[in-house]
Amino acid sequence: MNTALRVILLAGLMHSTAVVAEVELPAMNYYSSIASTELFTAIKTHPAFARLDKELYGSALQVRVTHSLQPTAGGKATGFVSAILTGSTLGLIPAVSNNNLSLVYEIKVHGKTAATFTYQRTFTRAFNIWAKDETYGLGKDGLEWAKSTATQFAADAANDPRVLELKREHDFYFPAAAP
Amino acid sequence: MSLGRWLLCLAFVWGVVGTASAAETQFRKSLKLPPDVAVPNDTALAVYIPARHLELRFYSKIAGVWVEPGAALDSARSEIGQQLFTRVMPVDFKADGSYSLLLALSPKWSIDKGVLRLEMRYRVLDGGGKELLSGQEADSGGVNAASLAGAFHAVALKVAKLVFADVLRELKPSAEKFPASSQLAAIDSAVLVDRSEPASTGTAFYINKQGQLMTAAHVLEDCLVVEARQDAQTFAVKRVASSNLLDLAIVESGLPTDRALALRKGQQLTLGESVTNVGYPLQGILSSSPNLTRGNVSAQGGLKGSEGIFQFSAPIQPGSSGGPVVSDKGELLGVTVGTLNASVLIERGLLPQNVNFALDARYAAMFMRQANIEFNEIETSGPGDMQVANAAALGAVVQLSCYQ
Repeated sequence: MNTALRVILLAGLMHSTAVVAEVELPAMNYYSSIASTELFTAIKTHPAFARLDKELYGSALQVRVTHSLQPTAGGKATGFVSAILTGSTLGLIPAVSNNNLSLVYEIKVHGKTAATFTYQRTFTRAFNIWAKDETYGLGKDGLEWAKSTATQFAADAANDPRVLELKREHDFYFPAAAP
Repeated sequence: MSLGRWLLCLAFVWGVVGTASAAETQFRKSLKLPPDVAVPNDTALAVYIPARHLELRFYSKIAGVWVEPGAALDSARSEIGQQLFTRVMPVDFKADGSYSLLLALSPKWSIDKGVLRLEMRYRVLDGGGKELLSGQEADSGGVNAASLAGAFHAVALKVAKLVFADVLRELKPSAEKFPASSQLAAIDSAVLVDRSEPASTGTAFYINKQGQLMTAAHVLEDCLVVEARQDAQTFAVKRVASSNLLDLAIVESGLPTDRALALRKGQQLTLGESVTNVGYPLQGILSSSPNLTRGNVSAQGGLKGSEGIFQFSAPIQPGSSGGPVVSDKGELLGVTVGTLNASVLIERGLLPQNVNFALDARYAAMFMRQANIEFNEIETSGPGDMQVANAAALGAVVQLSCYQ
């Protein structure tokens, strides 16, 4: 590879890195149907979502997280047997569930979806029915995975052409005030 | 292969065919399908469900789950469709593909005393848009907090089965009788929409002498056909530019006019100045004449986080969206886009009054310059007069009806 080409490639890399680092998306309102605080914290860690806020009720832009937790086909049978065992031992034997957890992240503009990011995973979970659940019914692994999807969503959205086009339009009408 | 293995294979094939045949017979019997109708049927069937029904979903606080009637309809369309037809597809105006029959569905959900009911009106059109069949089917099922999400799915499946069976029974279709020669992308949305009632209504106003109209973008959301009405005259309009971010859109009427509103030069607002708002709210409840209200510019901002919005006090109702907010000099100051959600605040013990929002005309001007839409700005002097505002606003507004 000749030097000139190498310089061009390096310049290109530096340029793209700089673009990614510079992206700060407009302020957006945030809503989640599950693990609201945990997901909010994870998303906001990404520089692109530094201006995410739970109380921007009037914002045209919104990050909306919804979830569904459905038993898998095998999970229904497992859950039935497990419920009988757990119930008949008054909860001494832990209950077992096998669920498909789906998290959908939407960026909405005045309620209209501009971009959707979906993450899915199946979990098997054993839990004591008397223990206090602080994982929103997801289990420890499920909650950790949910948080990882928030991080993944932030990275995916920050580089998504639909989101970047939205930022461009926003910057045209509402340019950031000079410091 | 040994004789034993051959016999085993034969038994397996026999079993599969036998089971399929028994299931088909059972299916045919339960749906009362005549023997001369092939099932699964080889007719290419495109199925249309209006967007507002497909997007319907809500969160049940009691059950703690998202309930998705729209997804239930969508999955019933594909599940039952694929059992009865070899080629069934959703109507997608941008998709490649051909069809022979078009099934347009108009669902209506209701819940009463623990019973979930779905009424489905339907029309079947051929490739040329000619109506071949129409009818209605309905079914219901029990519902409670625990079964809420599944109940919509179960009832949608039952009703879809009845509708698809009607099509098979009444038309006795086949690929030979109805060849798949029509393109999805060429479907005339005007023949597809349900004209019995508009999906939503709103307001628009003339913005230039060419007859282009300005409105709020959400008024046009998911509309296949938009009609405007003014002075008992109805005409079709077509979207030419829109911004969801600003909640603003321009539609073309093709009817030149001298009633267009001009923007205030420089688009500066004065806090407290008097304004007139005109719209067509609560259609079906109020009379069809325009509704005029008076108020003031009450704040130069909206809710926390809003941008480009000002607050005004002239009362508005559903259907006022897209209407003009006009100064006493007849200048356009803003476009009505929304109101404070009073029900949420009432739950918290607060009763908001006349907290309404309009997009500042300065952003409308930026939008129109960007989209090459012609408009006028005027510079006036003097105190202004309510009569001037009223005449300008009343002359410029039209009612919009959205059909899906």
